[in-house]
Amino acid sequence: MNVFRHPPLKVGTIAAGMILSAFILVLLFLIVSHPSPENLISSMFSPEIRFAIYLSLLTSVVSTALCIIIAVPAAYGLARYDFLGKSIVNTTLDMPLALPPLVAGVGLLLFFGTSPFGKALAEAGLVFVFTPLGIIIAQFFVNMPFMIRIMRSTFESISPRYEYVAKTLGCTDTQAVWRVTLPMAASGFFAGAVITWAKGIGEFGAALLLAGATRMVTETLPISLFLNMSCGKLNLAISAATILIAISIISLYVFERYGGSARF
Amino acid sequence: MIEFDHVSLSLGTFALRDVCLKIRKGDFYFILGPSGAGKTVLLEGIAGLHSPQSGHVLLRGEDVTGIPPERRQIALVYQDYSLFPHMNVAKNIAFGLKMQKADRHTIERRVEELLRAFDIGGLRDRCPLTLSGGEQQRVAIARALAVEPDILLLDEPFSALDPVSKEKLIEDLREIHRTRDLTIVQVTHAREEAMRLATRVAVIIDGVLVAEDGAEEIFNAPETCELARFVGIENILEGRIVSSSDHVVRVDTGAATIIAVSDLSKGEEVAACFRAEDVTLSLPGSSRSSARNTFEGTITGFTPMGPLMRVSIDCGFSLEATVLRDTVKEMGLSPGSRVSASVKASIIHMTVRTRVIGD
Repeated sequence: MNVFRHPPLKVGTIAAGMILSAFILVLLFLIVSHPSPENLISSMFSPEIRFAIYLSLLTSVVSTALCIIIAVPAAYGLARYDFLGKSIVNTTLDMPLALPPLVAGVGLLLFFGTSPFGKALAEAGLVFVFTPLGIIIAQFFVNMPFMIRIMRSTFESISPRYEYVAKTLGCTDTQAVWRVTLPMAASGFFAGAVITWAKGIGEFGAALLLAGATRMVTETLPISLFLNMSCGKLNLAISAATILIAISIISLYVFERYGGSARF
Repeated sequence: MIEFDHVSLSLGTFALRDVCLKIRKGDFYFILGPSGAGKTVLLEGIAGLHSPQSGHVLLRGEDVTGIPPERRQIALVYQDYSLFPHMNVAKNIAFGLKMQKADRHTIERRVEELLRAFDIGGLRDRCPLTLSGGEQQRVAIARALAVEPDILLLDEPFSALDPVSKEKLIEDLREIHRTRDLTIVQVTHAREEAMRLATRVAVIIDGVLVAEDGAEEIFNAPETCELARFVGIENILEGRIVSSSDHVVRVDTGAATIIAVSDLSKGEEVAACFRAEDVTLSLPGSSRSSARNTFEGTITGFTPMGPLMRVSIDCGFSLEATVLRDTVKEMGLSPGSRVSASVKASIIHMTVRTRVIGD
């Protein structure tokens, strides 16, 4: 081998990347090819998986909407303004990213299960422990940092001068954001929403602790995978896994294709 | 029209310190300063985008210090144009009118009028990102003028333009200023633009307004040595007045004696300032110049400047002269040639030397 044409550094580093991606592809292939196609399809249409799909879609859409409503204004504030304690707020908001979801789940369980605030909510009819509402809150808590980070980097990449010009042309602060900055942030917004939604669908740890794993009650796709795996119903488990894989691939593609400069 | 009354404003690393200035109606007012001097912050302060920590901003005779930008009727054009990328050219121009809730008919008529006036009719449906710098510039100015402001703020409008677009813009701006009854405030770090367009000029360095005067005075009769240097006067010779009579002074610079017209008195520490283009060159002994200052020296180098040539001469002190390229050829000048350089006493501007803080 000619070391000038194939320098060891180049060969070694590229090989590492290629081996890793091959490993990932093999794993994915093993999952989807494990049951026969007929078994896979019949499992996917079983009432249990249909319920899991429905509950996953419902909870992830609601939790993504919640993330958007809160993360977009928060990210704007963090991108545009300087204030006392900004770096602390920034770091704290990123915390759920580094925190194991199970730990987040314990915190949520204690907050909604034992704190006076959680008890008051339960008395008012908003029960989060062992209910689908808990799944929504768990997804919201764990995935919020993604939406904030993506929107923050998107807003930071838009010069405030666009807003300045809009204001000299007659916009109030809010109108300038609504008419100029938000439309310019559309691709980041879209990418953020897709990634938050996809992460929401896959959320397991925090949801397991707060909402529990009750068949046909709090059974989302990842919970279904866990329940069926643990009682040996491999076809059901793998059909849930296959759907999750498809969602991941599609959302990653959408993020890369339409995300513009958004990064997380 | 626009007045800053002891305005201090800090924004990140930029800060204006105790700035006082008055811009009159109809001025083509230039704010000149090096990069990072706080020029854009000053402009944004006029527009109301930042509120001053102390002092007052007055517009059209009224204190507007706490009034937000949307109620100031001031248009602003940035050097990067900041056209809204999600709207086409026509929508960009119509934006301000829409915000004013003008009716559709008025908006359409006004947009058409501006598209025609700026010769950008063919671009109306184009996305701003596909336009050239010059085209974007015209769209940005048209958008600013759509709301019929009486004050137009321009932030370095020439900085990203090629020479042809720049000439066109200079003509356009002259025309806009003349026909639209506008007060224009432009910030720049390029002196040439100011020399060609300004009626009045302010110089701002490190957030402090160091000079404010008519364009003629700033560029040809700067008050201080530092200002003379900043406005690009090539020859600044420091010395002391050794005699003064009948408005004529003799300045001893150590290397030469300079005769100038001035009312300053004997003993003053001064700097004699004159531009390179005010120096006349001749071959030694060839003709008698009427100028009262003639220095003989050796050419040390040439710098081409378009049709002109900058000649550096060592006369015991260094002197810069600007002549036509043809003159260099006709006189057969080359590095090492001996020449006579003459400067009229009446053209030399004397400034009293001041110490710069921290000097």
